[in-house]
Parts: sequence; structure tokens; C-alpha cells
Amino acid sequence: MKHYEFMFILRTDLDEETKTATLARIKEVIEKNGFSVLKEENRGVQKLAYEINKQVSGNYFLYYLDTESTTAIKTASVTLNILPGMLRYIFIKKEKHEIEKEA
Amino acid sequence: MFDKRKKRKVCLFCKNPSIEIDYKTVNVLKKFVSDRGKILPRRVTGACAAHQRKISNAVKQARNIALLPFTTE
Repeated sequence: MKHYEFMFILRTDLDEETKTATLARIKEVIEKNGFSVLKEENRGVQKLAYEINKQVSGNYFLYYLDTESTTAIKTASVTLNILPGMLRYIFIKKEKHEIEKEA
Repeated sequence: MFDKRKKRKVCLFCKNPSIEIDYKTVNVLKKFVSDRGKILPRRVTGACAAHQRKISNAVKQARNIALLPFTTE
């Protein structure tokens, strides 16, 4: 079992409807590729350290994921790369989830 | 005559094991980059080799997700 943190940034100029649709699509993609979502966290709108696609701020999200698959990130990235509204995403491998430490 | 020898710095993370090095804790990482966004060397930060390596990895991860800048203008 491998633990990952999945952080991504959405554009801030999306309306509510597109935002929920994009979030649903992201969840669908990562779950289809063999991840199980342990916790979702909305970290709110933050200023970006540098401009991405002419945007100066973004809405940060952090998902805690578990997977058994060895190719999950590769296959999920194919779809995540072409999602409109997504500015940046990153998968970070962790020895142990922070949420497990608290519990 | 002034004393040339400086007091040796102790690694912040060895001293306080409760502080965690993580790409999300930008406030901690900011202490280890210059005002131009470059990673400070060990001789400045005083960190031990193992922790310096963790810092540098965390800074690079934070840069990727736009939490820290690659450079400032």
C-alpha cells in the first residue's frame, strides 16, 4: 500500500457549477485509476508564488490517497493534464499520512 | 580584540523534533531560502546533512505547486 498526497490548484474565475463539475470529474478520474480517497481538504484561495496561465491566485485542494497500483499516477495524469480549469497538480509520496498520525 | 570564532549553529530540526519538514509548511521553508528564492547553503542554515536534504527536497516540491517562487524579479 502506498500513500500519496494529491494537491491541485483550480482557477478562481470558475463559476460554482463548473467548479463542482470539475471536482467531481477529478474524483472520478483518480478513483477510476485505482486510488482510494481518504480525505478531501479545501485549502482555500491563495496567492500563487508565480503566475500560471496569466492567473495570480488559485484555489488549493489537498486529497489524501491510498493505492496498490504501480501505474496509477501515470494513467491518471493522462486525463488530469487535459482538464480545463486545473492550473497545476502534484502527487507527493508519503511514508505515512498525517491524518493517520492524529487518529 | 574581538573574537573571530563564531558560535556553531545547531540544526533547528535536531533541536526541535516536533517541527516537521513538509512542502506544505511554507512558513518554515521560507527561513531556508534567500530573499531571491534560492535555497540557502548548510553553512548559513546550520542544518545537519540529513535535514538539509529534506529541506531542499521540500522547497523543490513547494516550488512545483506554486507555494514558493523559483525566482523573484
